[in-house]
Amino acid sequence: MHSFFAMGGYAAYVWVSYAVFIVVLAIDAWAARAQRLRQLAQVRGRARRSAARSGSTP
Amino acid sequence: MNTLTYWFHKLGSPPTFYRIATALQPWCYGVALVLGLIGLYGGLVVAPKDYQQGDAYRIIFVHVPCAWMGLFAYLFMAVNAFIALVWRIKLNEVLAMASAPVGAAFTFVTLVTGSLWGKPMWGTWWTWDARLTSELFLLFLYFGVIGLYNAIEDRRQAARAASFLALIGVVNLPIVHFSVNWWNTLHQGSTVRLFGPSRIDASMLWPLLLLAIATHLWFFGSVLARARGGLIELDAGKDWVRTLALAQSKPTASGVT
Amino acid sequence: MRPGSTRAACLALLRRDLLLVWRRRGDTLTPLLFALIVVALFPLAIGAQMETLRPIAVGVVFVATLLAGLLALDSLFRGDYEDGSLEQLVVSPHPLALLLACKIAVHWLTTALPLIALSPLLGELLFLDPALRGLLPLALALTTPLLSLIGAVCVALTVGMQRSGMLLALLVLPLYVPVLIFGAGACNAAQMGLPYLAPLLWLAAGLVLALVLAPLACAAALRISTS
Repeated sequence: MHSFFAMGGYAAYVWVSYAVFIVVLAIDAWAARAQRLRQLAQVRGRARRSAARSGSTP
Repeated sequence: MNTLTYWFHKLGSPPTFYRIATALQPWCYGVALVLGLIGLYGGLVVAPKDYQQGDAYRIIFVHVPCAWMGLFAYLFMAVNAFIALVWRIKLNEVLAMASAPVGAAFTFVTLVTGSLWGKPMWGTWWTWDARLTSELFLLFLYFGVIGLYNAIEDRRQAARAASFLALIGVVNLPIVHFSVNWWNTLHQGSTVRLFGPSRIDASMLWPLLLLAIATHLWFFGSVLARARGGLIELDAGKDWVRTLALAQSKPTASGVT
Repeated sequence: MRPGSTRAACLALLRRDLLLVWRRRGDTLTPLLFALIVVALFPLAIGAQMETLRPIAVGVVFVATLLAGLLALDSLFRGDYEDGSLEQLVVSPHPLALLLACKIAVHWLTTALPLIALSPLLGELLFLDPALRGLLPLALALTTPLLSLIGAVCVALTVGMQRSGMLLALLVLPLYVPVLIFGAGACNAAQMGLPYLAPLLWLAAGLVLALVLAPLACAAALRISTS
């Protein structure tokens, strides 16, 4: 088990590579999701404001 | 209108595509995750040590699929950009712009892992190797496309301008690669070759291929997710978006995405 | 109203652009001064010995020219966009690509040609290898039109923007890479005593291609960004 983590002395390079791979892809997926939710929230806010406007001045 | 063009038009309409993308996206991510984990297990545990490079060669299992994806994403973006400019299909504009950040992410990972691989193998973090240099300029091209897209106010005009830039880039990319190759031979002779004439062993090949498939699927999952966001932004005033947004607000924020 | 001939339109455009440049002739000096200052910074940064400066002279002159050209690119459509004459060009009945080719030609004549004329001086400042005295302006003469043509396409894409300077650099510089490699590469090869004709011929081939294609691409880009 220990030798698996040591990677024959190249642990720093190998594990950092895999970490970068996983972290960047995870950030990418998260950013895509966050962008969509932000757009949806904006649409909701606009709908709410226009509803409030038409409600106050019928 | 025959059935094929009918389906083509139907798929191109934002609400339909949004629905299909919503259904497809978890599958893309899910299968990518499963295949990726199997591939990582194969690459890190099952595959034997390389007789020359020891365990450092294991970086290949993330480096090479990402390098392929960087190019594949550019190709995907350029094809969509072409369709968007010639036939002015809104969906393809959105898809082209959705693939730019994902492609940039993959290219970035390629550069970082390549550098991490180069340090123990070549003794430096960076060499002006032809492939590395081309990859660097590929990243700059992605940044240019993303930057132009974000700098223009009108979303459709921004997408068209950035699509045009992507097409110029696709013409430029082979020229960059060719010129960098020429420049490289002028400057440093032959560099260390990572892929010599030796064939790659089957026990190393299958994790590589699995990870390649997984990164493709991940790319499509991410592109679909971004395309959904892009379609909402473009069609913000339309009814289908409003009903969608209001339908999502009722269950608490942690609902199905 | 019958529009005049395309030839007359091109000539009128050339005349107008040259006249505009002549009225503001002081502005054409700015890229030259910029290139001169950039070149003058290198000895200060890395030392003034001949043996350190000579190997990098070609590269520095090329990069300084490229950056000066990049700064000058912004003025290609800026004035015309602001006073609305660019839109007149777009809606005119004449082929837009041809009109833009005229504009690019004037721009090259007034910004790049002085730089080529200045290049021997820039080379001398950096102790350029005497063998390259003839080759450097020749390589620049093949390189700068390509830079102007490629740059014009990118300027056309950013034409409506308020602050496009940094973005323009981001768009243009990756596209300049092959041109820089072949232009400076030819001089470097000559400096090492290697054959240098091939990269120059590649540049010439690229220039012929760009002369035909870049105005068309520039017109397409302009139609996108002014629509």
